[in-house]
Amino acid sequence: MSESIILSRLLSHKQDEPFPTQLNVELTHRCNLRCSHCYLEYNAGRDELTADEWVEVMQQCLEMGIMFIAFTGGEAFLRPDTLSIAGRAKELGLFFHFQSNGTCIDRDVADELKRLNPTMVELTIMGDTPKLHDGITGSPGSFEKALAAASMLLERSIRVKLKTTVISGNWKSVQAMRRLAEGMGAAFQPDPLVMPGVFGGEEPVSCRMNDEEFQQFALSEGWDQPLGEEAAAAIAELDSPEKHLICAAARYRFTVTPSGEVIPCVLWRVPCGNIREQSLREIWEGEPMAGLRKTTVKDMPDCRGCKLLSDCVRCPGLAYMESGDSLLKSEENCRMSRIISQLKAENRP
Amino acid sequence: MAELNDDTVVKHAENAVFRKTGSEIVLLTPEEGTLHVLNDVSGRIWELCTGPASIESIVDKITAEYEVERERAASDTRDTISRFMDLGLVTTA
Ligand code: SF4
Ligand code: SF4
Repeated sequence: MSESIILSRLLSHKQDEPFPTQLNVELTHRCNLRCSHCYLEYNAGRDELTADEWVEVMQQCLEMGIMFIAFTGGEAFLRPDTLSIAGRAKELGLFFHFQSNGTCIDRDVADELKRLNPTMVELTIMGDTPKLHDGITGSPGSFEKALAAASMLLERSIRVKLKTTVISGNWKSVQAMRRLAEGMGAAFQPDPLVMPGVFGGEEPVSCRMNDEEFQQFALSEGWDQPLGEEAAAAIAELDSPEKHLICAAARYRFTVTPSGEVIPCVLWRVPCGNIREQSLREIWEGEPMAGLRKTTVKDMPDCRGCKLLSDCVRCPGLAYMESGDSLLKSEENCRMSRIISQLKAENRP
Repeated sequence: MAELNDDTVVKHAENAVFRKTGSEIVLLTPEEGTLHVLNDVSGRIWELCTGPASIESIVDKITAEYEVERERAASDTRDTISRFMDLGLVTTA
């Protein structure tokens, strides 16, 4: 029997060393909504990679043993060629999912998505009612379209996840959004991390929950509860101060922006090269990406020895946005960790 | 493991996610994020499960295409399809 090309690609990675498994593909930064908390700025779509350039990037992914693509934006479905790019990804044998606001997914798009066989479609909702959602997105009718998209995809047996960014304006509705998602048969994921505007805009930060709101939200999510014995033991075994604060970005995942810039994560926007000038592999293996991959908590002057470390979900991208240095603390992560740690202390018998 | 007899009719699960590149088939179980790279015969059995198809008809084809004894083809086919079913990738029609 002939040797499996896919297996040999997957097994070519060095043991015990991080290797890339997923590329986030920001197809465009254009968007048809104007969410108040969004970290991107409206962009007219200048200098976007063409479909052929994206196919070339995906071919390079395969050569690197990367099997997963996340198509995201902006709003990915504003590009008229998004479905055909995904079609090429399928022909190449890549698995992919989409992140979208759902407003461009009509019956025809849903049918085509069924044929394309994505692993999942993640749709953003910002509330459980049209008034709340449309108020935040600045676009009347966007809630109905997002929910209609979710229903059409679920009817076609495509996995759907409804995601929300939890902000001051919608935290009270998180449980209602969860019920809405679960009632439809979709997964649900709330995320309280609100990034500052990439281009310096202050509006996103002003949308964040204040301390009291975050406290209430954390309580409603049960984040004050101690972990079950089994989970705690598993984490204790895996965890070490060195490992705790290390995320997948630059280690297992990375991102290409609409104009071909390579960055560690959609939320960690350190420029690492451009695929119009270098290959994906050269950028992955070169500096600064390789250096970012090697950092441990020992290199983080604020975080090593921090008493809140075990309650912290530190995002290096947030630290980078706040101070220009990915290795420093993030004030926002510190704030959240302080509140969670306090809640846990109050809950302790 | 699922009990399968000759008359059982199977097909790909509606939400099964898989890719075919060249002659290779890779299945994904998204819940665990696990990839299953199929060998030649399992890949052919997977294709025949596109269905709806009876186990008997799949065994017929495997016996003929791989020139193996029917009994051997039948047991391999059942084992493979049971595994697909356990992974939630194939269902009875
Ligand atoms: S922690 Fe931040 S940089 Fe790391 S994967 Fe999550 S969002 Fe991206
Ligand atoms: S709480 Fe602040 S200082 Fe402590 S680990 Fe998190 S980001 Fe670093």
